[in-house]
Amino acid sequence: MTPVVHIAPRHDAVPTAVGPIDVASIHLPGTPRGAVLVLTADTNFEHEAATLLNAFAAAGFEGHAADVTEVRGTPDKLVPVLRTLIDLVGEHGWTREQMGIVGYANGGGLALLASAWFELGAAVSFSLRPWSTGCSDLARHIAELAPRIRTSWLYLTGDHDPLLPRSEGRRLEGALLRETSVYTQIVTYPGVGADFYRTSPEVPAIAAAFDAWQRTVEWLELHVVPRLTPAAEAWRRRQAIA
Amino acid sequence: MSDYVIDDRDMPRFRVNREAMVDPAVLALERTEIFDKSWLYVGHESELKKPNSFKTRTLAGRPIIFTRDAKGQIRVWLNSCPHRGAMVCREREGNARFLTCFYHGWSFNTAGEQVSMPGDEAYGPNFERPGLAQPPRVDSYRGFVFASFDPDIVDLDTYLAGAKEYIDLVADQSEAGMEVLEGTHEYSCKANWKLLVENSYDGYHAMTTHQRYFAMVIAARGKIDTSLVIGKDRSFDLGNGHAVIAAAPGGDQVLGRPLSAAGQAERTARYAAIGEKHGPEWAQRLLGNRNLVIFPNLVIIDLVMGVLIRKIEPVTPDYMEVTAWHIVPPEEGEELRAQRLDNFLTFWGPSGLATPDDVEALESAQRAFATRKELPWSDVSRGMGSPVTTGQDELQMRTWWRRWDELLTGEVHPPEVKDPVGLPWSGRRLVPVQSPAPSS
Repeated sequence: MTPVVHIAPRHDAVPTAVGPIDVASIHLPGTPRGAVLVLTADTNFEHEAATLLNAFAAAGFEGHAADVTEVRGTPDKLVPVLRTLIDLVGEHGWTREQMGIVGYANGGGLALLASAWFELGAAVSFSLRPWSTGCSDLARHIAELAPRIRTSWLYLTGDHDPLLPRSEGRRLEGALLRETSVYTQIVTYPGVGADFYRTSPEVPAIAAAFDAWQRTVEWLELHVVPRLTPAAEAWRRRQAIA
Repeated sequence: MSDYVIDDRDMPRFRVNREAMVDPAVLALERTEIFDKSWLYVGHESELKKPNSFKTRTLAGRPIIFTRDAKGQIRVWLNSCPHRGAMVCREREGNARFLTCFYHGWSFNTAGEQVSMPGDEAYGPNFERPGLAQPPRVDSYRGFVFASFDPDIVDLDTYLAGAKEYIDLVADQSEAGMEVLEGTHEYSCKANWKLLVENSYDGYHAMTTHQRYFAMVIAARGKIDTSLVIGKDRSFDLGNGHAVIAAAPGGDQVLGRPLSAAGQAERTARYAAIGEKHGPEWAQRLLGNRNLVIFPNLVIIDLVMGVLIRKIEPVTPDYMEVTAWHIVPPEEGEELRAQRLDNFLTFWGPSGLATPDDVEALESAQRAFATRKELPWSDVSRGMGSPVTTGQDELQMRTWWRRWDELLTGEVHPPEVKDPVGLPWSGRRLVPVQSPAPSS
């Protein structure tokens, strides 16, 4: 995950419906493969955001990372926040289907919420935590949202995550297959907990984190619509006229 | 006159030259005259559950991508990059909005359009950006998707002829729409592909070749009454080389593991509901067994205890590859599903109690074709002079071979004239299925 060149992200305080949110950004020259909005909920945002954005840049994705540790509530309160962040990415010329959203923990919950309210290229949630407080049944929480999901969604978690035991995960998979109109996938890593993606000396966690990263990049590659190059755009225009 | 088929209506006798099973020139002709000029089974729509789902497989020797595009339309693409030929997709299945060739990175969406090629400015502004190529004709009938490499072939509806009714008998088993289960049986056999076509609706071999299977059924069920099945079926020429053997109800009492009273009650209720919707005579037909071959290489076997879709691909004259899927009504209960899965594994599975016996028989025949100078002919005459033919007879194979011979040599064989049959085989659906307009 460590790129050879480290790019220091630019930081902005972005005003949202719940107050200003710290957003780190890395812009790439040329025609990047796509854009990614990272929603982190870590205590060390500056370090995590820089690491993740550089890793996504190495995979060809321009990135914006928002610290959503404190962003919780009901969908009617959270969706406007998500819209602000998505529009922020859009200001750099990216259409929604050219964007992926990747969220961790609380950010994973928001990534799922975004997949239900917006038609993005792709969405990925790591060990998602419910966006509202007091939710004890994560599988039901997700299943209720399933019919609304409009963005291909990947869920990565550990089988020791107390919020989603393996048996619940299997049931949830069935519900998603039946209820969603788009493709979704749940990957449950054996022998690791909800924090498997954080730096850990434990072999199962290292293996899970590595695999999860590969899957995340591949998910974006498979589902995020590429931005057309100027030559490709010109060709499409000619085709349309013809 | 054909070198391969003797269709003597006077004796009567029907013989097939064993050279057709070993000669590479015959296989080459089969590729150009049969596989390039027929509608070929690609897959079932239910295999592609979501937009951008795909499966890769082989069709007439060509690698293809069977996919549902972002708008939900079923597509079949040739799995070869228009740039330098590498396979665009090397995964067996998945879901992807874009398929990117790993060789030079050209990328295509599931609608076949090119979306990117690295360093595209080097091609100049007027460069024609090619998309993925497709077979000239793709169409489906009740979820069964076919493609043809012949742009001038008759439409699928006309091609399927009488076989449509037998596809209806499968499709009507579910209100929600029949669904192919995830997972396939894949196996190979060191024999000519036509031997498995013959075997797939050869009722004559069942009791001798599959003794072990029936011993298992007897052990599970106690005494079974084979008089319900043996000789109680009929064989039919369905036109265009398609044929079927179809049995009256009763096979479910003989085949497969027994059901509990609750399981049997559910099955009875399900067929009663079908009777309500489509008429009791149609439901009676549904309850019978059927082994159908749609020319040239699609087999649908419906034994009530399960429905198998089998596709046979020739590789060399003495080697074939077989893929089999299980199609089910998704709404049925756990016990009926368990019985189906059990039968799919224990009867039809590559290591089951029937398929290895068949493979052994076919490989044995292929090895023995080394005697073809001394024994050049195989006999397929059984029931040729009978006004009524059963599954023990060989009308169904003769039907297939006549079409094969016509396509390969140009010799036209008129169909055999048989007596009309009554119920249950003549049972009709209350409302006939409307033929869809050809899609491409």
